Amino acid sequence: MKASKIRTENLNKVFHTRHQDIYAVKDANIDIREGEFVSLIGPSGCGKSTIIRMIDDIIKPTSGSIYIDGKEITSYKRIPKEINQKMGFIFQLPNLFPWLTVRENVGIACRIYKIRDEGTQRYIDELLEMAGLTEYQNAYPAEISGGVMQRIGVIRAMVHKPEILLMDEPFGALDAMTREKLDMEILDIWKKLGTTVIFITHNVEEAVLLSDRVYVMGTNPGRITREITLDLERPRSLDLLTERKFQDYCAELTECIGHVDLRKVK
Amino acid sequence: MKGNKKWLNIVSPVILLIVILVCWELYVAVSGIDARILPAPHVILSKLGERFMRDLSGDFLYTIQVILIGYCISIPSGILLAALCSQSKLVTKAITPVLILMVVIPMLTLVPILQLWYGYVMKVRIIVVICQAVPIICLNTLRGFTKVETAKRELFRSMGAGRFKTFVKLIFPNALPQVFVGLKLGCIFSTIAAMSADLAASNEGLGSRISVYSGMLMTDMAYGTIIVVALIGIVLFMIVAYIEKKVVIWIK
Amino acid sequence: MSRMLDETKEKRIIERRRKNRISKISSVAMPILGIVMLFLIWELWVILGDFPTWQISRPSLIIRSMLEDFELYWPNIVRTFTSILKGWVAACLIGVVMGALMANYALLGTTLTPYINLLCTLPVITLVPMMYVFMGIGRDVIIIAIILQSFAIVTMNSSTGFMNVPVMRIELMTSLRATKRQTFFQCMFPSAINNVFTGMKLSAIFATTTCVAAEVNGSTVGLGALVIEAKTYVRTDQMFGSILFIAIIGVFFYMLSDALEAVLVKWKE
Repeated sequence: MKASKIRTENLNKVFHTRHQDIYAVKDANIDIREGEFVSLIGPSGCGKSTIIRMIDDIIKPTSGSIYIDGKEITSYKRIPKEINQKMGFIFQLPNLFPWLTVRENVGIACRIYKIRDEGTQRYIDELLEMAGLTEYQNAYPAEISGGVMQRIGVIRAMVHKPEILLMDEPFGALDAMTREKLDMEILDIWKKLGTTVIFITHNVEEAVLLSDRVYVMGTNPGRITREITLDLERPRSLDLLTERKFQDYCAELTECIGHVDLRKVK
Repeated sequence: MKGNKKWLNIVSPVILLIVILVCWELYVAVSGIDARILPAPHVILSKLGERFMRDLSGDFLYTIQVILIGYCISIPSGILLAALCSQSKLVTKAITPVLILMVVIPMLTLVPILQLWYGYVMKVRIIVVICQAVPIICLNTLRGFTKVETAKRELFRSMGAGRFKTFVKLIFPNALPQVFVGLKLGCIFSTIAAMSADLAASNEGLGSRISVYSGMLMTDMAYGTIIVVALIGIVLFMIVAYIEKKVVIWIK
Repeated sequence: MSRMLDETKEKRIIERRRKNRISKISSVAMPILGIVMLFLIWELWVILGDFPTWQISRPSLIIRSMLEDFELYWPNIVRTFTSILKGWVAACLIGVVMGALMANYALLGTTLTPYINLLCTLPVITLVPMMYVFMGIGRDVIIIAIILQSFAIVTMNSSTGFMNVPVMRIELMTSLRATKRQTFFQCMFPSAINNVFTGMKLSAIFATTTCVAAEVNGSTVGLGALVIEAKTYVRTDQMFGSILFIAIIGVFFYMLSDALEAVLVKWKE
């Protein structure tokens, strides 16, 4: 059994608003092994985006612990750079800076982490090539289309060679064809680099297609309700979508999510 | 808890004010500075309280009338002017520097001319206020009217809406945030214009009073009157901001 | 597929360049046309109204005075121009720095916001007579008055801009563990630059009006003072000439902000 890469223990997040306290995440226990591809699925408001942000130290948990490579990070006010550099975050929207060129946007981690070596520049070239963006590298975000921009968002998170990729519904805003294409590309990248991936989506088929395991989450309060290991062969392909086993898993997960919606657990 | 935060928002500026006032008092007491140069806050406030009804109330009402009448006339004028100009891109470009010109000209130099025509009446100062407020309201409103997303415009065109209907139902509501920016700036300029006019015309009005007190080295009353003017300005600003909050409810 | 994209991309770029050219030409031509129209109407109005020369001047005479008596105007123009320049630049710098601090340090922001709003609405011109009494007739009063009146609006606009940066962008910086400094200069400031420039443009107007009003009320040099001097000698044409030069300076600073914005902000949000 591979080592535990990311582990959360009784993770809680409460948001205080004027009218009420929102329990965004309640007692979340997740254990992800090195090299695994794990999805978090659930309806809107189930806290999946919150969990992934707590892991990357964008939001601070109210209580509970997070362990990265066995090291507890929740006690730090700001997690150390070495640990932070192990992670790459991909947002729901491209989230590019309009005043930087495509290449400069991709290389933003270099600016912040102060990575200045030649090797990284060559790696950026490689990444741009892989994403088919070499000819766009000196264009500005205003000049390119949405699907292309999201690709940039993906390779931007990879520049500093992170061991963990955290993806917050990265292809949710795209059309089905582009999304399927990028799903396959992500599997390629994952296989080649051996990174650990946490993938958030509300699309059940996408989760089953891509992952080794799926955590199902529910709302009110946001919590993990089920964990399902997918016994599907790798490498995965789009042909899988029509297979019986695949569709059974999708039905099981959809029922899980549907179930959770009706219950009102405090 | 967020509840606590809101309380802090109100308390911390008040604490700052108290700290400033206390330091001011201490400084005056300790340094023994001449009361004519820097009077202590309590002196200012007590003198103000004493003499407000007797000396200032007349000028107070005068200035308030000047500002309010001028501002209230400027609002529809500025908006109407912007509405007309926004119909043509070329006219919009042509009129912008003219408007800036109008704002920037020291109206107080035209006060003597206006006084020659109309005499020493309130009308002169109201015109000064209008001359400063209308361009600024117009400029900002114009910006709001001309920056409508093409997608929305196309929607209205596809429904066969004419110029007038498009204006009333799309352009105007869309521009409301910018209109209110113009109104807030307009009220600032109205107050400033009223004071500039007072200083040039020097007869009635709070601005003239300040000038007189300064000249006679009655610094405590001068500061007191400035505080009154500042209060007028800020109360007017807050009223406009409040109306904005109620009207433009889709902006956070 | 790639060729199709290139073609449409090219077409878009060509169309945009054409529109930009037309826009640039009319941006320069139309304002000039507007001013010319204004002067023509003014000239006709004075001629038809048969106003005496001491009341109002014809633009033709005003312009003649502006050209002929230029040596008289010039030192005053320089004086007023440099006063506004010093005051405005200082106000912009102070304003942006304060806006940045108020946006980044929440307590500072909430404490100072009402006071910044107050300073925006306060007619500093009312303080000027007293400032002259303390500090004597001199340039310091004018520049300080300009700074006082102009910096608050820059602060207000800048801090609004800094506080309204899209949350996702800040999250990106946080995920890269950027320092507060890096986040500000590389993310917040470019995001808010339009707001900063709006503040600068408005403060240019405040700076001009305050400078002139301060000069009128107590200075012996500068275009504001020249207006008063010309009035005393009933040289209405020189009076209006000074006013026009003031207006030119005001418009200049406003357009300068526009030009700076066009040069620095080459991207579309």
